[in-house]
Amino acid sequence: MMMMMMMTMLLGLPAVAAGQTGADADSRQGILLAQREAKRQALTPERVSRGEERMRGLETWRLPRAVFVKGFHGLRPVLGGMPGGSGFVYGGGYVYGLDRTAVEFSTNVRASTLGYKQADAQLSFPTSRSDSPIRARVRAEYRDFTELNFFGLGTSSNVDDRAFYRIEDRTVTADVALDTRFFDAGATVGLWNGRIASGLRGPSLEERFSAAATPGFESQPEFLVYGGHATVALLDDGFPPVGLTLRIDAERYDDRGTGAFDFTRVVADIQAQIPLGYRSRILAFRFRTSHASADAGAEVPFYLMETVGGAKSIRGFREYRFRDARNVLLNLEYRWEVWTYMDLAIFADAGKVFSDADEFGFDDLHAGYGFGIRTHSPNNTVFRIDLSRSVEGFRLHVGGGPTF
Amino acid sequence: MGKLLVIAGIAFGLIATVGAQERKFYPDDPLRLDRDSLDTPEPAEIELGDLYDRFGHIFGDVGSDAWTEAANANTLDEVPDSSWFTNRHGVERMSVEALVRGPDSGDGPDLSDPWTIFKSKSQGLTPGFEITDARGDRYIIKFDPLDIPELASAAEIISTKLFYAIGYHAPENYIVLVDPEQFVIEPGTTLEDEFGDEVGLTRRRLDRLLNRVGRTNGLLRVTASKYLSGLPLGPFRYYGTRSDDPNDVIPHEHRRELRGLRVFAAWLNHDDTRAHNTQDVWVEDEGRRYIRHFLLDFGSTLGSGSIEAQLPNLSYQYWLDPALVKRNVAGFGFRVPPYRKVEFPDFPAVGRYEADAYDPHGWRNDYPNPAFERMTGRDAFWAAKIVARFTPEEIAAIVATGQYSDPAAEAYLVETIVARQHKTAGFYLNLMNPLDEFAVTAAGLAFANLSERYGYAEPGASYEIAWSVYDDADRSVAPLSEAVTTTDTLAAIPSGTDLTQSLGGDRYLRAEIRTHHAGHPAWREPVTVYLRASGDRLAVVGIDRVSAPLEPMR
Repeated sequence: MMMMMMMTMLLGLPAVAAGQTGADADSRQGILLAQREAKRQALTPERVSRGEERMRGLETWRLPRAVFVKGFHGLRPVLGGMPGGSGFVYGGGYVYGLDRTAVEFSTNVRASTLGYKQADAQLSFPTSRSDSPIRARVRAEYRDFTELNFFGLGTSSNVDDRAFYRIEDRTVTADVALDTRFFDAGATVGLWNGRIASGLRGPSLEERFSAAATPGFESQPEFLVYGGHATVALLDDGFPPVGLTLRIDAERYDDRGTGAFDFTRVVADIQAQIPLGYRSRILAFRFRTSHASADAGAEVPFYLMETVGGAKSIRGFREYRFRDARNVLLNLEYRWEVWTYMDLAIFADAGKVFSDADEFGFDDLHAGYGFGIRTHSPNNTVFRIDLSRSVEGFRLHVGGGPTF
Repeated sequence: MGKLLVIAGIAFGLIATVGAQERKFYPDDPLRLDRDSLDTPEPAEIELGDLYDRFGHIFGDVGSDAWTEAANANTLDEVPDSSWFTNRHGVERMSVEALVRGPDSGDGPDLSDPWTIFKSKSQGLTPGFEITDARGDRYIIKFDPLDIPELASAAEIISTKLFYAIGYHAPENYIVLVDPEQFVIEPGTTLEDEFGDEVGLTRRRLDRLLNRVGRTNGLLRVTASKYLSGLPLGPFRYYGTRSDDPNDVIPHEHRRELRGLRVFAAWLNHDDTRAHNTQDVWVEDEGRRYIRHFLLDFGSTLGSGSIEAQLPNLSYQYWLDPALVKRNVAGFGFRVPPYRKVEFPDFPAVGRYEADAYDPHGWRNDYPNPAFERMTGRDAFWAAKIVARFTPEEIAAIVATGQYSDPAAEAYLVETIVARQHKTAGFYLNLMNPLDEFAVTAAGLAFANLSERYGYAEPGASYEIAWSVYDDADRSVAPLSEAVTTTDTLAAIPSGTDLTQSLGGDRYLRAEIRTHHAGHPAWREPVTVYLRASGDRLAVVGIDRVSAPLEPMR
């Protein structure tokens, strides 16, 4: 408004101002010249506002990519990176070779507000910047999660039986993968060595459950773990991508001690993103089932069993709410675009755990439903909020990455 | 104290000259050239904030509250030449050679000796350099995306020539095929890596960057943009005025060439029409120093998004439109964003540029532009006239400067630019009484129906013409006769000794023309033409049009 008033004033001074400056008051150009001469008497340096200067300062800030990816001489802060339900996760790390194609090394240490600790180191060669479709990686990891949920085994466990246990383990793995446009496959081999103990928060698992109900709690062997996976991704390169992804994983856990916990796990995962007419509304579906089969006379340790419940499972239940050797999980989401970089979603989840293969089926499923918001780039979900409800109440999940 | 006196003078002038404001014509009307080149002391260089500008325009209310007609149109409702705009193809048809040459003064950078890189940036994954050639001329060097050769360079060159022909000041841009060994590095040159850190530019780093660039027979295809002559001052805003530029007295949102830029930008899909792609330059001309205003960086035009094909959502909606988000939330997915329904061609070098779904008035640039939002029907009509002037042959000649290797891609682009031209000009010309090109001839007052001329309306219009005498002293209008209706685009001018002798001074002959056409009732709004008598000759001095109402942008 002030600007318009000034303009009106300028446009309204032809005769006097023109007379003052010697410009021709009886011409259009003379009037304009008079306005300009008048303005020239009151010039002030052009500058941007303080608010804009501050905002520009923020724009030139190296956050977040430079700090969280490159860091200072490779040293960088770390946020996140532990399983859901770990609390707020923070830490630091070091990376070498970010601008190289042949090799990259990184190491991180993390802690969470629940007191969890995690450290890892990995060597990748060639790196993701290489054009090579074949990648290899060696990784070592240490974890100390001190209050993991345990509600008992089986699909009818009671939420009121919630207890806690601690897992402190070390893993060393080597893997190699072939990654192409529509197909990838890989193989892995590693050693697992761990200690399962009482939860730092009570009640501890052994206070509520018998040894028979917690196989593997009293003694933990060292495992040789090996396996492989194959994925067929029939996705197009649209925004968002639509199509079908099929993945199968097979893992063998060899108890290097007595063989009491030898088992094999097979996991199948099918995901589909189907546009309902246009990509602005997507029906996303996932079916996942995992089967851990103990060798004759052996058991699957409870801490390596499958679970159902949590941010990437049935969202209306707590993390690890149901646990057993096998599970089945179904997720259905309807996502609709409200902004190019933001979708809303309504979803329904269902699943169960079970011990015997013949219990596989879609009866007696636990279910939840809810509403979510996702912000995303063309290829990744950057931030996600899901509010879900089940018979055990509401759960709110906040985090990055897709549910599936 | 000095400022107080100036303000007092302005206020006094305002009070003292109320009557003078009401005058419609001055002796030098119509003003064809606004001499806004008053000597200017060295202005400040400014840098604008990208996010501040973006979110300030999305959520803020920038620009004046007055939603009025443009403040710098002359009495013919045209834009005078100025430091902002030079009438070119819209007024006097340029030759094909001149259209193809555009702003170029030479043949581009000298390849006879190495180019010395003195500044560089990684620009995400696509490198960019600033170089000095053997002649000592400086250029900004940009590359096409690795996997989409020709995309950005062709768009940059073609759009530079079109926007220049329209009338905007634009830099000299060239496509050059260059050997990677052409580059040498000035000692101390640094490179901003992908994380924003400065590192020394070494030959190894340079080779690594150049390996990201596509090649043709081993040569790199680059866009070389010549440094503008003068002192760069940073961008101009699309609102307000510069406080250190005495020539800048009209708020930018009220400048017709900036409002009308919306029409040209829609035609050529220049979605990146924001302050950051403009440049004020302190130039020296005929002994005076003043600020000239340029449009820069046409790499995100047509189907190009500079570093990738244009994103499909951009140009069909704002990058972020809170009102649209609200509607989409409530729509539960049943409301499909229009861009989702668009089919794009399969010409990677052209990118996402099409004409079928294109809606000239529904088109949106990246984020709200205060000048675009204030565009009126008259502003759009002015721009549409210029859009319509380009012939298919002229457009084809300009597109050929993009040097596409695929003739089918080139043909598609020509066809699409022409199709969008017709949609754009047709839409805005048909919104208003489309009469223009008024001229006094021996046979009478001649004019043209632009919509019929360009085929945007079926022939069959008739013209109801009422003559009168206009007195600028008291703004009175005295009818001369009853209105007559004709199908001819030539109107007999009233004559008679008494009439002739009564004209002159503040008295003008005035013709009010309403166009009758069954398909266009809006054409009945009159166009009023003023003729000034000078001796025994009459000349067109003014044209009044009635703005058609336009749908707001948000």
